[in-house]
Amino acid sequence: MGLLSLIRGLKKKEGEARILVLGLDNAGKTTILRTLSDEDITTITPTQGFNIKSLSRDGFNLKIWDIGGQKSIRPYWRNYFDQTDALIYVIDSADRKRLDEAEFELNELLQEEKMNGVPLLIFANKQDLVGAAPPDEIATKLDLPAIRDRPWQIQACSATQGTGLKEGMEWLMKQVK
Amino acid sequence: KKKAERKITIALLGLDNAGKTTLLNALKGEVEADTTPTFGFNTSTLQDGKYTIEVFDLGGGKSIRSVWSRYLAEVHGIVYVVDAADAQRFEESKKVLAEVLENQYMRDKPIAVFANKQDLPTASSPAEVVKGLGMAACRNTHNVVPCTAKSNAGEPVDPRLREGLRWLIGYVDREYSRLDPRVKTEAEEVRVEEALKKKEREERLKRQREERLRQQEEEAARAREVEKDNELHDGMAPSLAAAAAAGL
Repeated sequence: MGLLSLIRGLKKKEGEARILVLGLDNAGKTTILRTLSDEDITTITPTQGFNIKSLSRDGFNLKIWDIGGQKSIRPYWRNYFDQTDALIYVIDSADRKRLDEAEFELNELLQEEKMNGVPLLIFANKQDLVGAAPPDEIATKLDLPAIRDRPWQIQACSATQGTGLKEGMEWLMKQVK
Repeated sequence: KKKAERKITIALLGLDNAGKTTLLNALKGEVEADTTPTFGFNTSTLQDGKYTIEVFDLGGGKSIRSVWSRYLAEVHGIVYVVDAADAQRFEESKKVLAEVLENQYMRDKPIAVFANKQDLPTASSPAEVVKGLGMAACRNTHNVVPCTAKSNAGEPVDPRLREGLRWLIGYVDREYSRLDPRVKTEAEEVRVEEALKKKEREERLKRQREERLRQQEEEAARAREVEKDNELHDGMAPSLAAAAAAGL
């Protein structure tokens, strides 16, 4: 049974919760989404080089895509930012070399007007790997303590082992009011 | 004499499971809300008379508490929560509190220590908490308040929570003209310093990207050269073959 149905009861609001799942390529977003739901994920490609996976289930609407890469597709992001209830940002905790890049991209996202005040959940993924950076190190590297305009939570997890995902989603659902 | 409205910022600190988020919810009048462990940052605003109190609710787990230091320049005071029923963790709590107090931005700032979970049979008295946390060595003005942050549905919130907060606010209020300008200055210093570091990281990243792009272009150029050579060679091959066939 997928995690989404397990945490369904936590959601108070009627209708859908719109959640964006973003992160650099190879962070583990698709694996997280697979673990959250048993369903196949539909893939839509609205524009060249901009691949979005979408999942709608149990009152949740999750959309995921890779950020970074081509600058030219950036303007298309904004089409998906409307009425976002929460943002999940996935980090490959073992890829320390790309933490600067992850910080940079997150920063760009948080500066988007439509993202104002949107709760932020960081999944510090791949904690099962040797050499994975701990949550506090990632929080510092991503400069999360500079954030004052929204609640944030960093959740250590391993999408392949299924650990930490439920805890992260429970926090997220409390923020979606 | 009526004073102007004042804004006070405090941080809610203490080990994981001490009851920080529950205590904050109780102060907000949300007694029934269940909590999940905090591994990050949440901000709440409380109103108490003419005071607007912004509270930073920070996670207390071992894997997240190192971020606390980044908030200390911005606060006027600390609410430090201890699970009074868990004496086994007093030593750890003492160490963590001592680290906070060593921070350069904590000088002369007041601390309200809440000896929480007094409803539990194993709860230590405030005097025992004072001893367990080594408060005698604490140079900051402090007050240890016994309390029960969690209350059952229908029961009123423990009035000692509000009283403890009032003590803290009262201290900050008396010292406001000295404390607030300092908080503003130091918070700005930290903000500028961190923004500078961030800019350096971004510039380093930009350089790395440019270097990577340059390498890719070089490789592409080399690949084109090789291809051209091959084409040249392929183009020559038939004539060479013809020459060979002609026995030259």
